[in-house]
Amino acid sequence: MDRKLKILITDDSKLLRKKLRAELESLGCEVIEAENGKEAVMKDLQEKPDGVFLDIVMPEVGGIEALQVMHEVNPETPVVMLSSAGTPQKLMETLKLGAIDFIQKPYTSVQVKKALEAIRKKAEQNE
Amino acid sequence: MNSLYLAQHLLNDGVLTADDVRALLPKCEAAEPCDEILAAAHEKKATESTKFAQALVDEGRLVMADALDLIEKYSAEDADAHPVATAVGKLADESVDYELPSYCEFCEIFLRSFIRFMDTPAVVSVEPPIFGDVSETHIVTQKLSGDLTFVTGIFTSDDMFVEMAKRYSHEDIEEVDELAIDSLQEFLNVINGLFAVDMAKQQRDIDLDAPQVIANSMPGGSNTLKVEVISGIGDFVLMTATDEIAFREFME
Repeated sequence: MDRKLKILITDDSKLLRKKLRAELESLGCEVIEAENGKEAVMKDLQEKPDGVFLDIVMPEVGGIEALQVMHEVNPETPVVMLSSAGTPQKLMETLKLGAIDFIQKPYTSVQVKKALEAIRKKAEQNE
Repeated sequence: MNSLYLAQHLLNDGVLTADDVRALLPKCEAAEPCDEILAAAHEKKATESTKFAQALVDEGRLVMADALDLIEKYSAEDADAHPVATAVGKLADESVDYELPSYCEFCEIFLRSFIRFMDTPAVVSVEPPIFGDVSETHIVTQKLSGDLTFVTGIFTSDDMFVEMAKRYSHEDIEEVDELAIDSLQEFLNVINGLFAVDMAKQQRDIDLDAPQVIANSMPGGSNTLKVEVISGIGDFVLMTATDEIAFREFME
């Protein structure tokens, strides 16, 4: 795949969005942002990203609800959960709902690269 | 010897006072443990404990032989394996008896994470915090619910708030602005996430609410444990309570 991957970051933390944006842009991605689950669902529909990084603990609509809706509307979009609440229960719950990976905060660059590779593979399959 | 907690051992055992530790911790950053200290602690590179031992010698609080004796004492198999929990236990009254094991576990995870993310040494004081004027202060809280329900919080002066936010985020932060608040909320969120993972290993499922922040208010709450954290960059209060930490708005 030659084109840039378009990635949607969803997290209520401005700091997290800023850091992850820098990380993904340095890996050649185009980045869009959402501050909560509701906005993420809208941007998933409108912008059709190649992949989504999705937090769980967010005000208004949380990540699990957003994941459910995203998976119903567009089951092909690969979603990587990126959350502090990385318990085995949450991991199982989100994988059952269609997430392709789960990264416990604080993330490492290696984890982000690995998740991006999984998103790239899925995007190539979808094309 | 635990690589992080020599200062905590010495505080718990009354060898040093809170003021002693408060004066010594900022010196640790520049301390370079000598070969004898590293060898006594069975470490190949500097740790928080070996840097503290070196600071004790550098500041003339101990001669080298006494520092090596202390390292040997706290490296022994019968040394306290949970000095942070021991300090928290000293502060707890009967109102938190039921929650104490969870509170202790949380405080251990918090302090370990604080040292890691802020890159500075820290201990839990064995004396209760004193709350004075609450102007120019902030409280960041987050509620945990599920098999275990309680609220955790960080109560701090605005100066310390900025310092912690700066260190955690590695951003150029000068005041308690949106980025500073966001940074400390994320810091607490990450620590509570680590605590939730720890609890999950004990088959206890915990959910986290979004963190909150309030300025210039006196913290309260039921079955509250308040501990003062003394660190190389300043002091603050760590709180745990079984319900919402109540707030009385600060009145001029």
